[in-house]
Amino acid sequence: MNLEFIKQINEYVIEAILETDDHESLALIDQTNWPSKIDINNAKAVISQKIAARQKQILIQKRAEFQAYKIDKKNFQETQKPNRTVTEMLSDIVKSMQNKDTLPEGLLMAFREQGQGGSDDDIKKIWKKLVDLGVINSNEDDKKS
Amino acid sequence: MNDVNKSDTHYSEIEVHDLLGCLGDADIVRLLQVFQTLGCAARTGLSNQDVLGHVVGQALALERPWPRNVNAAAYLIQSGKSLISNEETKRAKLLTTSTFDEVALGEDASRAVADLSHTAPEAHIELSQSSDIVMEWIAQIQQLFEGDDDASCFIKQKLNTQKKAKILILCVLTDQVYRNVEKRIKDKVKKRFPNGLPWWEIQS
Repeated sequence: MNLEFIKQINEYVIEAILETDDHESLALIDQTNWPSKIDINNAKAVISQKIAARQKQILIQKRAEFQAYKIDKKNFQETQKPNRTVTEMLSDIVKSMQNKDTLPEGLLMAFREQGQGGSDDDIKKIWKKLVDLGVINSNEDDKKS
Repeated sequence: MNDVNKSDTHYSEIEVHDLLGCLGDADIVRLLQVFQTLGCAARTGLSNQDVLGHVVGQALALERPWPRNVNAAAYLIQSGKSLISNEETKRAKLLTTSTFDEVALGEDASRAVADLSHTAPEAHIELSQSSDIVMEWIAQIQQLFEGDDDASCFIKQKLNTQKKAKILILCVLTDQVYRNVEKRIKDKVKKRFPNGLPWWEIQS
């Protein structure tokens, strides 16, 4: 019971320390029973080191996360690449142009205007556009298999 | 509580870095002195610098969410109190375990149990001495307020474990006078016992 009272007295001492203003607290440095200037400098160094270490740790963590994101993105792009040769793409395009039931109106005309004498890159672009339009099913081979 | 709500009520990691980076010499003096007053070295074996390092580390790692309405000193002291208390408990368990192991390994089982279950005669003497020390501390505190009737009554009722509401009635104090008495007690005990009173020596 009495020990609780003594603990309460210590709490009062702690509250009084915390209520001490900055000027008075600084005046107590190096006084008997109070921290020395060396103690203060050591404590500040520890705080600075811990903050710097934590910031370094965060930087390493963020870099690792970014690397992982880049790898994920690359892998995703790899999976999105068409698994077809230019010849197969050209064949897909021709087949789609012949299928008048599914070909949107005006598309054949547009193809004739833009697609004549196309390079491999042009064929790839047209194939991609027709895939995006839903005229060509890029997973046709997957379905067959 | 989701992250959005939490950022409204608690500091973010970046804000914690800023708050700790802004601690000045006066803040550090007060923190180190408080950890000393909490008996960190005697209770845990950790210096006040060690405790400060630990609580700063915990704050940076967001191990203890830091409410926005709590200032740096109050937050770090609360963390320090928990750390000291936890370390003290761990240390006590460790000491008990090693004591039991020492006894059990040294003697046969029945003797070992008997050794642990009987209080040593010295313990009674220590208990009596502890009681004397506490009474002496109380007398010293009471002496500080001789002639201050309000403070003397306040201390008497605190010793009787009365709560504030009851003390106000028994000592015939207004709320303002109660706070003034508390302030006088804080100031005087801090001046008389700048490192507090080592109650942990009595308990152990």
